[in-house]
Amino acid sequence: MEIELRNLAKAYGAVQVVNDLSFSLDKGEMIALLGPSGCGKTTTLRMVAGFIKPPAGEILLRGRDVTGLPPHKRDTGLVFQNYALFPHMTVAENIAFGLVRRGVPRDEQKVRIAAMIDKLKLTGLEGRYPKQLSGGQQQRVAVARALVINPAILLLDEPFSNLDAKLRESTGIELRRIQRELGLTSIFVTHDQSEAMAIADKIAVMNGGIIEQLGSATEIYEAPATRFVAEFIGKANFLNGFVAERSASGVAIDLESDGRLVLPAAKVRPELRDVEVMIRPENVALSASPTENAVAGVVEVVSYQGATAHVIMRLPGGQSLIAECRGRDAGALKPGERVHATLDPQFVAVFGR
Amino acid sequence: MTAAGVMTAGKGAAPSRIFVPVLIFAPCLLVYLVFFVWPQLSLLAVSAFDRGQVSAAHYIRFFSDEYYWELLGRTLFLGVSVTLITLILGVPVAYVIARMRSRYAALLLVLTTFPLLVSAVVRSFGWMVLFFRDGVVSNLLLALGLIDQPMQLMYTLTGVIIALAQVLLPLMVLTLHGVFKSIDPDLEHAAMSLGAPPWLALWLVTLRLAPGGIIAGSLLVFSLAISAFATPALVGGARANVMATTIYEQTIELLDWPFASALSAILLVFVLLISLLYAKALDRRSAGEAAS
Amino acid sequence: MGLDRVSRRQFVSGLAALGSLPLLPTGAAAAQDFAGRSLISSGFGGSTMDIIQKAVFDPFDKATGARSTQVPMQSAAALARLKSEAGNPQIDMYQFSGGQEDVAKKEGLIQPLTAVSQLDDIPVGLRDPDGSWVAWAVIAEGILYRKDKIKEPPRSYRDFLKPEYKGHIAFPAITNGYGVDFLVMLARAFGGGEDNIEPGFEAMKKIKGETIFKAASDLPSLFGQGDIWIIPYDSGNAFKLQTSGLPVGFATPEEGSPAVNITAVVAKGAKNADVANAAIDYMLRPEAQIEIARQMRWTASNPKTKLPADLAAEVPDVSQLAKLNRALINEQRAQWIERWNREIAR
Repeated sequence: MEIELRNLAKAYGAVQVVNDLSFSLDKGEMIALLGPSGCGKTTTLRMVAGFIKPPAGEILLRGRDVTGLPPHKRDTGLVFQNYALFPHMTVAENIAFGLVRRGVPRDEQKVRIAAMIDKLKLTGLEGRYPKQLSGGQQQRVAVARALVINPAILLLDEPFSNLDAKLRESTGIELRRIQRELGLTSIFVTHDQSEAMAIADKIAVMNGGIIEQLGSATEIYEAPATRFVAEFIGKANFLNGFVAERSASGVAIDLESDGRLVLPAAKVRPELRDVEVMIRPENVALSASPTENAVAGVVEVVSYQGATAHVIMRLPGGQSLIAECRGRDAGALKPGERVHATLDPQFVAVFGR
Repeated sequence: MTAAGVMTAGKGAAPSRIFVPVLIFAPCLLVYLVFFVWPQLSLLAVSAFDRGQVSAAHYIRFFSDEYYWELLGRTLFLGVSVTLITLILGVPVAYVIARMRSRYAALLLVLTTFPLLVSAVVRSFGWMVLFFRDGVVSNLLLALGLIDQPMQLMYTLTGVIIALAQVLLPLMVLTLHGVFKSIDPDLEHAAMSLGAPPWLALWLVTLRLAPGGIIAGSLLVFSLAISAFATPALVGGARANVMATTIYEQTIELLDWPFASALSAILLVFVLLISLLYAKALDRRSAGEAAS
Repeated sequence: MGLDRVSRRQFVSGLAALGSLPLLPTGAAAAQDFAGRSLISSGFGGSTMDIIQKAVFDPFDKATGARSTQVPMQSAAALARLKSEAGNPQIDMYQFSGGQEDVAKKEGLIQPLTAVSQLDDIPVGLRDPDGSWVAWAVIAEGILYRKDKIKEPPRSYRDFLKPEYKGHIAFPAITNGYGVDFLVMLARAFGGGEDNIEPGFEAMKKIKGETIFKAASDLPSLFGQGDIWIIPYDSGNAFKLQTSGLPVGFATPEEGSPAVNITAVVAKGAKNADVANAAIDYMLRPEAQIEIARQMRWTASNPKTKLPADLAAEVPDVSQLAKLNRALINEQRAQWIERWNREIAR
């Protein structure tokens, strides 16, 4: 195990920012700490970096307990949200900073700096000052500065949030390529779910100081463990219902909006009574005639987006349901029309209410 | 500077565009001219006359006398010492307050300025209690075994340096605080994560980015220290004579106004000279950053 | 006092009844009613100024209807102010304690006292022969010592060189009036004087390592935290220190107690010169001088002042005080200060 966090906790006054948080990474793995602001993801990163001392819990880096170590003895490479490039140093000096601190011989410094400049496509910018660089260039210098010291772990604090949307994607892919190539174990903090899903091996969805769910992008999207995860990642419909019948073959749930779903027993925890049923729009199929596992409703809005279209339905009882269909099928649907929406049981998640 | 700005604005601009800045600057400029420039110039003029004749006699008297060289030297030494002490003491205080995330930070900052609210005279009486041979400092050091003879700081240059450093420290702290506050703490974090211990991160990054604040704070403290009168007069007594107390003596006790104005002029020139050199020296260090 | 005032009141009302009186000396008559007029004088600051205000200016205001204010400034600063406002004085009347009246007269900054009726009562030496200034009180200088540290009262200025006091001596800087007098008295004690200051400097050099202070305000601290046992100063301050509870005694040295004249002058061109003249006249009244003696132990300058027996024992009579040649001192002062700065303070 390359890094392990055991039961980390941190509170500011009465606010528990991080609570009993644990996870571990193998060499070369990249985890994304994903969550809204204030969820504790940055605090966790800063505890790993050593800027915040956790009052409880342990951090093990390559098997060594570093919990009490100051930042400069931790061997971490950190890329900051605003890059934190030293404004009074050139690109080359910025990259050299960590090598000088480590007492790397001058000749070796040159070789390693040159390699980084090459790898991050910074050739020709060595003598520039940060203010003379574009945002993307600054970001690459920040990455180069963090990587050149061969850190045990690479920490990235919202590294793409200051880039424009187009650059963000290509930079993310590029970073992922370098990270794979170097086999760098990384922790990556972001509030952007698509960034997390595109780049990380594992995603830890955080909320209120705890990890709500830890898993691969698919697991988190397809099988959200909590209502928070379901709502935070992607789009989701929530329909109120209650468990009507339980048998060996399945569980029947009656929805408030008139309709019955029959789900595999494993999907509904035995203690549940009043429930919320979650289904993502792309797993809702619309048809003109009633089917099994369907609810009926009236089309309110059709929002055409090219490849796809979103259809917002009003259900009996007042709740609404969004269905995603192919863009070319959307033309057939008119507001006010009555339609049936089939919820695919395979993609339904059920939470207590 | 103002005039130059007005002139460039005037090139090819409509008259009203010149008029507005002139109007805006006029009251301030007028006050400055009437209450600062004019008295300064007339002061300088007084020093250039001897018994009704234009003469350099007062300046020759100063520069040909070892005593006055010593006086000037002592004054500059006082200024430099006080500046260094306030800088050394002020940097950590300003830094810690600037980096504090507690709501008490503002309160602490206000607390550091309290010495400014006490008049120099009252403060000096406080120093007497501390500085006399049978005072608190001497007795404390005796009790700690650090000295074996009672020690007197009252009426010594050392006493004046300590007292002035205390008086002027808040100005240094306030100036530096503003600068530190504007430097992103993540820069230090970056340096630390790259292997620099905190003190080195502070030195290599934060202090290198603060020359403006250090210059401003130092010049403020330096110029106030060498022109201070009350503290040297009250704490320093007769022995720690500096330019300011001598100017007072020449003006008030000896009524030799031409010589007093010559002393003022010399002090002014040296202050400007040193300030210029200091600013230049520090500026060169940060020239790299400015080049961008 | 009561009688005096009644007679004046009657006199004034008599004048009013008579109308204008061209025969009477100007000022003397007019001086008695200053309703709506104001007088600004320099003052010595602190409690001294307050006592003078209560003992002299307040009763004067009450009797004449004037409104008198003292502006605190040390004598030297006062002279500088008088000089800087020459011709257009904002302050009508000045009080000096360091012989500044001599310089002021020489530089033509003051005008003769034309309406001080008691001027001729004051002995020569305590008033200017030309009537430019008058001493309204005299301070006796001498040796202040800690009674608990020094059992035998010091007898001479030579005592300052006694080895057993080493490290416990303080003396005022030469810019302080008492500092000059100390230098002169040291010179006298070792065979010199105002005209031969050399022995004074010689003696002072031997104690140049001792504590030197600038202002009387340091005295309590010097005797308190300063571990100082002996200081040349005056009976007025000795009294103040005693009142504050310090075990300080006052000794009259055998070389004599130098007299410091507390003088009053009127600025040339003063807008309220007539009021100032009347106020100075009031200062010379025995009842004012008794009050000053009672509260500050200053010696009265008017020989008509008869101190009550208890006070008379504590305040030396003006005839017992040594006269210093102030004119000669003032002539050499600048030169002595220069020398003192180099040889003593360095």
